Amino acid sequence: MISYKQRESIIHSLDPRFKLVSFALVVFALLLNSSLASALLGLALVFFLYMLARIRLDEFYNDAAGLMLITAIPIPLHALSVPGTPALEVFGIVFSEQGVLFGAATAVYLMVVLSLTILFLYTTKRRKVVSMMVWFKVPADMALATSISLRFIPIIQEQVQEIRVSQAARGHRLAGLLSPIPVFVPALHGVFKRAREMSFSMESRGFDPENIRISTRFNSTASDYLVLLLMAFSSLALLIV
Amino acid sequence: MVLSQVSVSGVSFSYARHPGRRILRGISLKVNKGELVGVIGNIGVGKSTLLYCINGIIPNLVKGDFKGKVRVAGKDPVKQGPRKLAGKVGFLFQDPDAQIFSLTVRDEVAFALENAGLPEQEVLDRVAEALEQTGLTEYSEYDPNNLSFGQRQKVALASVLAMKPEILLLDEPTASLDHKSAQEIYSIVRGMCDKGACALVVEHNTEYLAEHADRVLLLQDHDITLEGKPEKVFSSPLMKELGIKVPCSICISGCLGMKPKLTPADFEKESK
Repeated sequence: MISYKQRESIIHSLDPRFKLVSFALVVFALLLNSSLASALLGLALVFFLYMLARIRLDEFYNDAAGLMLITAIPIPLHALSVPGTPALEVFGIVFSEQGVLFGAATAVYLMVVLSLTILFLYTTKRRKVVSMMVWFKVPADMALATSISLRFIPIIQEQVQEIRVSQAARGHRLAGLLSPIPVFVPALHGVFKRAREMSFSMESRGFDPENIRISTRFNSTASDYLVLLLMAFSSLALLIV
Repeated sequence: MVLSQVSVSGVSFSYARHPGRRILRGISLKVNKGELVGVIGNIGVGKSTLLYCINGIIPNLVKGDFKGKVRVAGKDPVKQGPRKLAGKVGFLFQDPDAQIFSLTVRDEVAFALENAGLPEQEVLDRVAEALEQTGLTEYSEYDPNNLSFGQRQKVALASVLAMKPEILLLDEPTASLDHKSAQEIYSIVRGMCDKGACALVVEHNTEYLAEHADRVLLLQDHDITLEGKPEKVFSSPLMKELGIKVPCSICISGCLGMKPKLTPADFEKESK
């Protein structure tokens, strides 16, 4: 599961606001310069950032291999739709050289965007993500809903797994269109029950939906500014390549 | 004069989804300062519903046909609602996962205090105190998902204790807990009561009530049928009739023809 990984690294210690802006600069630079060379350089930068964050490749692979496959979709799409020098012909369908290159650049760009997003989640505590949202003027109720969702995803996953195992113990097999129903109906019931009890619990502790309080205290240091500057230069380099 | 912190008189309630089916039938009770009162009874007799009526969840958040009068620390929970009573009444639910929603233990404990608009330093001090009381100081920056079930129940309790409530309502706080964690929870609650708070605890494990409760209420057919000191309630034939587990010490003392004993320590006292 893509979630915070406790490590002692400079990327972990960054102020999340600076981290987000730094990552966004890279993404923006690659959006403006859509060459394959620039995208590959961006990917190399991402690899370096993962090394700095002490996130192992196998950890990333376990969490994101499926997502990374999706990034390959633009290659055949662009190869078919972009006109240019024919590179390959299969059953009368012509794939252009320019299309393949543009598709590859887009695929690498998507890989960079996804990898940076995942790196942000790997290196930022969920509480900080929510505080940062409020700092960036995301409505407090939306930030609170995000916070609750982040807390409950693993619990619901665990509950679905328990239900799946207990249904399997009664001979249920997950095969066919309607087969998930015996798993999802009790899971959904559990979610509603929890939501009801949570609203009771929040009211009992004085929660006022009109006055949501989320802390937005951050401690930015010189290293945050330095990293932002370095990332700005890197983004400029990506624009020029 | 003994001060009643909780006073319930003639409370009846039926849920809107089951109109006409009374889950509480004219219940009356009082809980005094410093008392730890246990509520026992079979499933579906209205134990949790009774707690919901006391802190105003019923009829403010759960609709139905509510009759009777409730007073909590001199306030009317029907008019005030659970939000306004938050500083006076602390409610601990059975499932901590249905209560904890913050991303760190510290934030969860601070939640009610921040809602009350307390100054930042006071929030920090109270959080530290509640974490120390529950033995969670070293876990303050932990994600609650990474704690055991027992520890999460303690986080939920800490978030209640941080408000320094005068009245504690606990709905099966030890369900799914191991013996050690359950004893720790009761020690904390007992400590609160000894300092002047009072607690009403819905509990299925009568052993804990035998050891810690000052008084026990037995609910049967949606009403209180028996009430008194734990030794009186637990040695009543009604316990066996209803299929409620009688604490071991009561059974043993009964078999030996002795006066009802609540804990092994009571046997030791008599043998000396």
